[in-house]
Amino acid sequence: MAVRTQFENSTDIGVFSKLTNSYCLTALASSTNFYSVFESELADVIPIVHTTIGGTRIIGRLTAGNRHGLLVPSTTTDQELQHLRNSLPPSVAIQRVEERLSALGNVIACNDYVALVHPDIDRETEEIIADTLKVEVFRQTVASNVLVGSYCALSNQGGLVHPKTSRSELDELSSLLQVPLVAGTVNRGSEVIGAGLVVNDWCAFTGLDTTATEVSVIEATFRLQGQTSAAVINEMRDSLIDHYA
Amino acid sequence: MSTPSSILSRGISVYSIPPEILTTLSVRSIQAQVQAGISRGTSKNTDATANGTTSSAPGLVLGTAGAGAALSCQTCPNAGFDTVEEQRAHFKSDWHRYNAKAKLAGRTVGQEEFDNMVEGVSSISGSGSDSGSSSSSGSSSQSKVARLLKRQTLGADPTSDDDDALELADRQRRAHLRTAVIWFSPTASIPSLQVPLETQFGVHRALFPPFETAADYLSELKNMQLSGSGLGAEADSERRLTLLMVAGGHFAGMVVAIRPRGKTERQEVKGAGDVRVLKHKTFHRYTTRKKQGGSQALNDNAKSKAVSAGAMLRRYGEQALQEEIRALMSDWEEDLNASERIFVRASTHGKKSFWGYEGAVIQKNDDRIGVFPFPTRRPTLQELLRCWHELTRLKVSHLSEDALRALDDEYIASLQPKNKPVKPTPAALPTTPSVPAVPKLTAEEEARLDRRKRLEEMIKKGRLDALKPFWSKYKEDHDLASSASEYIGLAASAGQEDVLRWMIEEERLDPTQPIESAGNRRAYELATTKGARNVFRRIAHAHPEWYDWVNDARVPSGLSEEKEAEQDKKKAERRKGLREKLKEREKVRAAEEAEEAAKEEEDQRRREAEERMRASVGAGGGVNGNGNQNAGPQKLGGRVGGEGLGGMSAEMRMQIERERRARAAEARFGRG
Repeated sequence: MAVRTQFENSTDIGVFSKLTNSYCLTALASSTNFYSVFESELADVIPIVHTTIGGTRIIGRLTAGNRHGLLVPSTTTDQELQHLRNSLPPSVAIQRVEERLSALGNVIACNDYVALVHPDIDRETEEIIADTLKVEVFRQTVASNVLVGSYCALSNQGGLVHPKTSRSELDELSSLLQVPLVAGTVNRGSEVIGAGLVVNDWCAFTGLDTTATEVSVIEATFRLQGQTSAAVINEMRDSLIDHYA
Repeated sequence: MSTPSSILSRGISVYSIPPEILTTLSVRSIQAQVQAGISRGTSKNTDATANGTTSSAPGLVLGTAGAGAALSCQTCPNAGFDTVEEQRAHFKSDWHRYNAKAKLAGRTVGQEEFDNMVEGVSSISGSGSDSGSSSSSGSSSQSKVARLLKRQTLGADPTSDDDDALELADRQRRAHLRTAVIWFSPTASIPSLQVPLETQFGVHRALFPPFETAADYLSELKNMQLSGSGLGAEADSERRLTLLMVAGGHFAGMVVAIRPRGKTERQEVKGAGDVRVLKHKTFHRYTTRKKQGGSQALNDNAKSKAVSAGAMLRRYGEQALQEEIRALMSDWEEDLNASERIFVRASTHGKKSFWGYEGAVIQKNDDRIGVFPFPTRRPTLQELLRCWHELTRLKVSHLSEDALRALDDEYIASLQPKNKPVKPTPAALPTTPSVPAVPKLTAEEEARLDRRKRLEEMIKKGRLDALKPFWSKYKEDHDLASSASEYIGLAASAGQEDVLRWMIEEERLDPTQPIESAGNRRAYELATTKGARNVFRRIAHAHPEWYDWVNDARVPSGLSEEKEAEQDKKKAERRKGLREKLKEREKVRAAEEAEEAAKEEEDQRRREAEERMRASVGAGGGVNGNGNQNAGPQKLGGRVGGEGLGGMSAEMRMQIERERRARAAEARFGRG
């Protein structure tokens, strides 16, 4: 089920939230509307935590995480770290990372098994990622972009990547990740997938501008309504592919 | 140093070098050496690439073998895998990591080549302990990749063992890159043109495309030549250069044909000589803030947008200037496209007028565009002409081999590897053939020169307070003491009496010495004012025993206090006498005037009476009973009273008065 929402008139909800299979983080907003949307979908299943990171609200771009753990940048304050420790389940490991590329959400894209990271990331950071998130780490680019976290959204079911990713690159990435990938857009054509979409294995939230077609691609890609991808392709061919007369 | 010869004393155009010279030229020294170095480097590189290709050949075979499998790596060339596990293992390998980064820079390497590079790194690092087990060990191999990448960005030739050689090559490369002028020298003297062997010809690098090797420059110089008369002449007339400058709201642009103007052709630009100016245009707009400087746009960007009237004007001016330049560019499109080189002087903001907009005639990355390789002044047509001459005339210098070598060494030594200012290059050598290199002054000499200048200034301006301590501090200085007479002369000619008195009386500088710079005249003769002369004369009177004042110092006579007082008195008397005389004359004249005025008054009255009588007779007195009837005409004509002259200046009034008197006198004589 994909839900459209916005954060204080911004449709880049991936900037202000982080969603995994075991917890969800949302930024502090002036009203609780944003939080409420997440709450209505996830309330009884996983904890939803209001937080800031280093005093900012762009928590989605600064943090990286999955079911096993959460990585926060070195700018995170002790209070914030303590708050997160108190709010998240004890099975989730929280680790502060001293990394030059401090927007971890932009340079790390991961699901519960594999992580794609920026080619320039430190060796130490790479090890921390592998240990904390319990993933295999690959230095990769997506459609020649080094900010892999910004240009793709991954779950254990599938992944949506930058629309200009070539066919061969898609194949390569999906053989790395072992999940089917689709090149697509969110928020009415935005190529910054990571900023427009947060997703876990059963639920997705997208920006309010996302079109119905984009929503159906997302639902199909991440198998949010129990379809198989083959079925999706058959169903959606009409809307996705122009027929020439 | 050889004397400049006749052909060299004229300016030689870069485009019409006499063929005798051209055939013997070779590219000189620093460039040539570096070229050798670079060509060595490039040959090495080609070797390396050749190795790469040969060594990657097996890789290629492997690639084709693996191409049957569907699994591959997009980043690494010729990588193919049979199983997904192999592929995933590859994505964690050093080779792939290296390529993932190298791909961003646009180059990737094959497996063998990468192995070679890694070997090189470990041998350089000197820690060859674990080089055998390099490919598997995690962190050490990682740091190896990092080191490898670092090295590659650092040097052109990473496989070279010798760091010193590398550094030297780097410095020489810098030297090669930075000289603004390329020097050529003849391999033999040319007696027919009186060109000695020790001659160097300089051509601005900006006139050439960016070449790598020395031979290119020489062949290009030969290509650049005009073909003179004959078949190529017409093609030559098509060749042109464009010079564009914009700064401070001034724009100047010029398209110049490379072929010089013929004698019979019309010259449109004043003072251009034989430069064939095809097109030229200058304009000016008010764009720059007065007193403060800097363009309005800059100021607006730096602070908030100013709303003053001046700011509005300047903003408009900037816009208008840009539009005018763009319009001109499209007008000149044909010439710009035909130009061999385009020289532009503009600020970053100013460049927007030339390119980077829709419909721009020239593009930013055009190879022909260059900057003026020397400072230029305010953009005017004259400045453009100066730049044209500077750019296209051969620079000629005469330096011996040893001097050149010394200069080169000094220059290369001066190029510190990082962030050190570059000393003037051989390009900064004397450009005129007649002037030999200015001998370099030592610090001491320079200080002395400076002191001298300051001293002269103090004397000229009569700053005695500053002069006294300065003189007492430096009077032992041989240089200053020896030219003491000059300083007296200077003080005398500047009319600085106090300084003069102090010099002669207190410092006892000798005024009898001839001053060489003034044709052996004496200080007294250089004095421009009477006051200064009097200083000499007074001292001559007070101390007649000091010098032979009359003969040696050429002071005609002493001036005692009494004598001076007497002179003053005489002068005062004379002045007084004059004043009295003037007063008397005034008095006499005033009396005369009064007399005449009285006479005239009388005369006038009489005439009026006559007129009135005549009028009353003529008109019959019937119509105009009013006695006041003649007021109007009277005012216009006959009666010119004092109030009629009211608006005139004193002189004018006097003149009119005098005329009137003369008339009156005439009338009297006539009657009498």
